[in-house]
Amino acid sequence: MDDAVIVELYIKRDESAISFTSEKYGKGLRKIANNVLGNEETSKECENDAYLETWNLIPPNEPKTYLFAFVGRIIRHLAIDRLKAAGAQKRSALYCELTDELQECIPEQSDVFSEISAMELTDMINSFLEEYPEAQRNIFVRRYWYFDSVSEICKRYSLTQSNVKTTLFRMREKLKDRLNQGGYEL
Amino acid sequence: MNKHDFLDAVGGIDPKYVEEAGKPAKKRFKIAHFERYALAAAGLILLIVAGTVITVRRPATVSETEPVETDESVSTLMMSPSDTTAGGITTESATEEAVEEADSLEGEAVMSSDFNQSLISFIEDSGYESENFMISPTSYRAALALAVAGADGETKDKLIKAMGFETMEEVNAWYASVTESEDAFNEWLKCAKEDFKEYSDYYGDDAKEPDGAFDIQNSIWRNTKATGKLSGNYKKYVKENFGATADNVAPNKITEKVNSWINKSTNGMIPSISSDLSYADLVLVNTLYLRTSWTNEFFEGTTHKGTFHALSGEDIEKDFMNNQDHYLYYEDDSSKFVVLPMNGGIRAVFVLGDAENVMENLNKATYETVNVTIPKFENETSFSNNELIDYLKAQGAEIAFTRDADFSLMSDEMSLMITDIIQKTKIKVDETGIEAAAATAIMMTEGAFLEDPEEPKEFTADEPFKYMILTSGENPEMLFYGQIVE
Repeated sequence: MDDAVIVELYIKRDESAISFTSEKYGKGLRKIANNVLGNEETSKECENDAYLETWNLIPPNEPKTYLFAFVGRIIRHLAIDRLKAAGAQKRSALYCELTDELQECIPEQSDVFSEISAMELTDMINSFLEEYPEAQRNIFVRRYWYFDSVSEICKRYSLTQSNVKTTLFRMREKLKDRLNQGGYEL
Repeated sequence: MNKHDFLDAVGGIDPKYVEEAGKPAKKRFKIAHFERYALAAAGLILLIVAGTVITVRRPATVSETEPVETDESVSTLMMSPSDTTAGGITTESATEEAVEEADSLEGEAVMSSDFNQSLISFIEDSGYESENFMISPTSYRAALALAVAGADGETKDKLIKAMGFETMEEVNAWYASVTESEDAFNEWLKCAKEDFKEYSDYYGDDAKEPDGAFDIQNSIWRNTKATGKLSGNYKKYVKENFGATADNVAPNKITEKVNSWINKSTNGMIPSISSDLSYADLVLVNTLYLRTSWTNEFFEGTTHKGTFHALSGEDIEKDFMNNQDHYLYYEDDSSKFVVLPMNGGIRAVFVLGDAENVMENLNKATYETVNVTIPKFENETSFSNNELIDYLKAQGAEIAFTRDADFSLMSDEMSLMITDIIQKTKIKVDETGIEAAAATAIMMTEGAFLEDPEEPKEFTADEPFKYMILTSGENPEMLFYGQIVE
């Protein structure tokens, strides 16, 4: 079923919108949560919470061409929040790997960086990604939005591990430079 | 803003990037396609799935069981116990004594059975389940041993584990046990020939001199086009531990030389492994050859035509050999097997039903009088469609096939990776015995071979466009010119 049709169901307050969302995107959404939480049961709870929040956010939002990205953002946020609350011992190896990698991007003047809002940072990452060709951007997004492992990215795009790791490393370095140069206004 | 918030903030990126990365990826070229123990006690396993029918009849004196015929495809295992004490004349009683001494095979198969079973299952799942095939786990691992000896770091660790071992010492110990079996076989043959010569006056005119061969060989071929040399330490190591010879060959000769060496090492059973090896910087080769006779030969006069009920449902006429003797036999709800002893300490196990637990059940087999009926057969198999690479990747050793591969102990002048693994096998089974061979080649190239292909340019004329029809030549004539705008 087309995303636009499902979103119309949300707008009309037709609860079948949730089952259609689950049917179309449930597997992908659970994978995102599971990559963060490392626990299927908790991921399932997260998924249900994500549908509830989606119900509350549509309307006024109308993600008619990007429903998966919309719900995916919600489930990512919910999963990361759960993990932050649960403590370090509950974090999956993949999650730790991802956060450690992004740690490299945080500028040395971290006290300044710490004041930046999430929205400002997101805007900055968007303009950073815009400069890249689709192939490299996809690698970054698969790694840090979808939480794919390096092997999964290699398999998806028929690349070597060395290619993927080098691409990610270079992009993180460039992102760090951008943040360091103060590409944002406080 | 900490690292968790950072990761969270990535979640808010433009949805169009998320949707873009969520689309199925375009297919890209990967690698250009080219053709392509013991286990403390036993030293050799050749596994055959050859669609054999066994008719096992147990006479009333032993059991009341009705004769059993089955048309299921069966597995045949050939095993070599380490303690071959069958020196001296190969009479039935002497060999039987030697076999009965090694009554319990417990522990013999345990060490490598996980690897063997996992490899066999993988090959079956790769599309061979309903085909005749034969694979040699021993030849495969022996070739890999040559590669892993030159590996370091994660590449070495992952390859060793994928081979079913924990350390390089275990790999060496395993190979040593394989060559012990080879030595034991050759010792038996030497004694058997000497005894035959000494006692030849007592035999009839039709007595045949004991014959057989069991030979495992390794070789390394460096293409002279390679930019670097092999390290002296590596060459010394593989010579000492695996008896491997090393040679440098020009690119226009390497295919012929390697094929010729394989042909000779397998007594002509495998004339060639590949039609073109010139692309490889290094070729690591193992061959395994076995020729041995049944301890109790099948009498040609009892071979008769019979019907083999194939897996496909088709009935095929085959020549069936028959014998009745005292054999190790086992039967349970899921399978049955019989162990036919061969000269030189080799055993051929024929299995009907599920072959997965045969190695563990060998020690539960008991000596029974068994009527054995098996067809004569020949089979040739070629694993050249990346099955043997995919197996290692499935076991976690994908690094060996990437630019991240570390074969620095093999050469610190070249950055090598494995690009292809091929195995060919052949077997012939008849009234006198078995002749079987395997050859495994591992091709390695320097990392430059795996350059990423350029992104193809796009030309999609789905908007107004112009066209011209020209003659060829230095000054083409414009025969026609036109445009499409609607």
